[in-house]
Amino acid sequence: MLLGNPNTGKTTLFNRLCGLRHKTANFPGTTLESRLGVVRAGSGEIRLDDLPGVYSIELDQHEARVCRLALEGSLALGGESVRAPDAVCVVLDATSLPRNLRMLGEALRRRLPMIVAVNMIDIARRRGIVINTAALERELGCPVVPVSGRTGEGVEALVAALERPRLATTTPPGDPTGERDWVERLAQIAEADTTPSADTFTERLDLAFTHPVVGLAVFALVMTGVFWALFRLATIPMDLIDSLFTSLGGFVASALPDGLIASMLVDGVIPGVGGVAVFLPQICLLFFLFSLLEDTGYLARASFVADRVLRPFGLPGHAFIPLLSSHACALPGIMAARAIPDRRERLATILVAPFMTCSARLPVYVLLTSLLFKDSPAMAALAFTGCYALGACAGVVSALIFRRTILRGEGRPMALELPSYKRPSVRDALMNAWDRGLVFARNAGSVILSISIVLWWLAAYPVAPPTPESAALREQAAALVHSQPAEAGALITRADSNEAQHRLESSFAGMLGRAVEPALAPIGYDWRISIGVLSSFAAREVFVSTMAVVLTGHEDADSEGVLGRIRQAKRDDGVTPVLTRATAWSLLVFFVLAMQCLPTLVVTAREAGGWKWAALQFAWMTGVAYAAALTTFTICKAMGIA
Amino acid sequence: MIATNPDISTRRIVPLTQLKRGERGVISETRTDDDSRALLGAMGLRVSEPIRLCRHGEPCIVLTGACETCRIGLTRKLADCVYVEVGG
Repeated sequence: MLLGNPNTGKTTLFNRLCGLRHKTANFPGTTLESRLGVVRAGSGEIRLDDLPGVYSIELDQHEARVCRLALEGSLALGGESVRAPDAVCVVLDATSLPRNLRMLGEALRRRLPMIVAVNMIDIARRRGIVINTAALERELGCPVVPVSGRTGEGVEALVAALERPRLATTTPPGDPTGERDWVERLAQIAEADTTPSADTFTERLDLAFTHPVVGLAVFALVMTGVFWALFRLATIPMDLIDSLFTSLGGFVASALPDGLIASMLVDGVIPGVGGVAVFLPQICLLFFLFSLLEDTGYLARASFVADRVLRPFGLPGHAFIPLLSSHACALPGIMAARAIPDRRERLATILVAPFMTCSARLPVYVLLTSLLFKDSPAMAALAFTGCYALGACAGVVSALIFRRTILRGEGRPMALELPSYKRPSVRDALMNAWDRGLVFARNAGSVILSISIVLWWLAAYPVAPPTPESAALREQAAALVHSQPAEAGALITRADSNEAQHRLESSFAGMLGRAVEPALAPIGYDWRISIGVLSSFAAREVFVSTMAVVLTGHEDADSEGVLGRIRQAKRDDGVTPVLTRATAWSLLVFFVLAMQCLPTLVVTAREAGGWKWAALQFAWMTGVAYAAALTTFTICKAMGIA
Repeated sequence: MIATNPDISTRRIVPLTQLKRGERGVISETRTDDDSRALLGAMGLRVSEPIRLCRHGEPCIVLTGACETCRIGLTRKLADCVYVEVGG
């Protein structure tokens, strides 16, 4: 097991030792993740468990409890057998040895075979810190290896030491005074020749990055850069995945005979999983960039800048990463909230994270803003920005309400270690992005797959017989197929559209749409829009293809022809447009604020510790969205916008 | 509960927020709840530990340890709870 303080370079060392030979898993019954890797050594393979970084294993904290239980042999990663570890490798930060020695003392008191890795030895050397590892080894009686996970220095010696761990010959006293004396004595032995130089570079940068004005400007600049990268660079692989799933759907449709399985795969599983998998590049890129920023040391400073902004709303600085991540997808955002130490603050962050505008909302915004501002791209862009601002404002105000009511209580003031600034490791960032991508893909492959099947079933059953209109169109097409094949093709397309519309109207989803119509009528939605709202629970962007099918019979809402037909589609009275301007505004506001994502609710229930939190999140967001949509619709009507 | 160094009654003891930038001291008390005190202690901010103030305000940044190699940032609220014997 790999044990150590945060910021000791433990993860970099783990990556250096195991490479891609690892898996990420949860400790059973917890939301805490860890990685289990394999080190190739001379005598075979060594399994290495990377425990969470903690300042002390005796703290009354979730991570510390997990470390204690894992060291006692009463807890193991999911899928692994529960047993005491064969040995513990304690990772110490060579640039901050005295504090790290306390953790070493705690590990020594567990009386397990041990190896000590004095990491970041290269950085320590540059700063004039000399660690006498030979003297430390003599004093402790177990292997002590100077190493640099970043450069690979000493890694071979560490692998050799991992094969021959030894029980230490010393056990530090348990009382505070005795422990302090032990640490001081050991630090004197190890750092006898040290004359550290002042880290003026870090000191100067800290003054700038935590400055009330300059710090905020740098923070805004860095986050703008992250956003730009997310929405520019990720577009290419996103389009590739999208076209891959489209081709896969086409291939399966042509390869399988018409029937239940083909329909389930083509209309349910492939678009359902594809609709979520398309966000994989954004999620990987987001974690890659965060990993780089964290490695430079900037993220710890940014947390303090964010703390000044978020604290008035009852959220800690730690919440900015979950909230920012939620702009790509709420799922990794909610999972990132694990890093918030205070339970109430963590729950508040989880509850409001889906208010942030995720990428799945963007197709809906594109559809509605292009309907609202057909000839004014500037106004459409402004409306887009307004949607982002509205989501963020609703999120922080909701957090304030939760923190003043059901999650009332003093927040935990922040104390963070501020590591020295350094060049980030691209290798570590890539591996982190890979890990996060795998976790997300696993989620898409299980929960989202099940949800897709259920929603497909609701939209596909009961199967409606062809309408007389479509039957007539097919008869006409059959008569013209030899003389006018182009005309026949157009008639068949019209028949297909007619049948698709009719199938959806007659399905359970259509029945539900009609059932909820009275509830949604006050905000301007008829039964067709209600079907779109209900179907978007699978994923918000499903709204666009559903509306295209319901209103035009085609799934592709991108073409101007289909957009025009959506604009011209009429309600049951044959006069009123389905999407009036007032309805479009109401829908836009509704989609900014509503919890239209079943996978998010599943992850909220898991991360917050119960379905009651997911139910609260759903009820709160839907309530806020309904009230805001009602207000918008009423104002629009009062102003004569119809 | 308050963790106190018993031998400090006659010396100048101030909250961390009142140290001047660059001034050194030794931690004498941490007047906060048990969990926060345990965390601060584990991070290196414990009674008798030498520190140097690097930055005032929000966050308050200190260097800890004899070699001043560990840099900790604290919110002003938390820094107000850490009492320091000036000069040490």
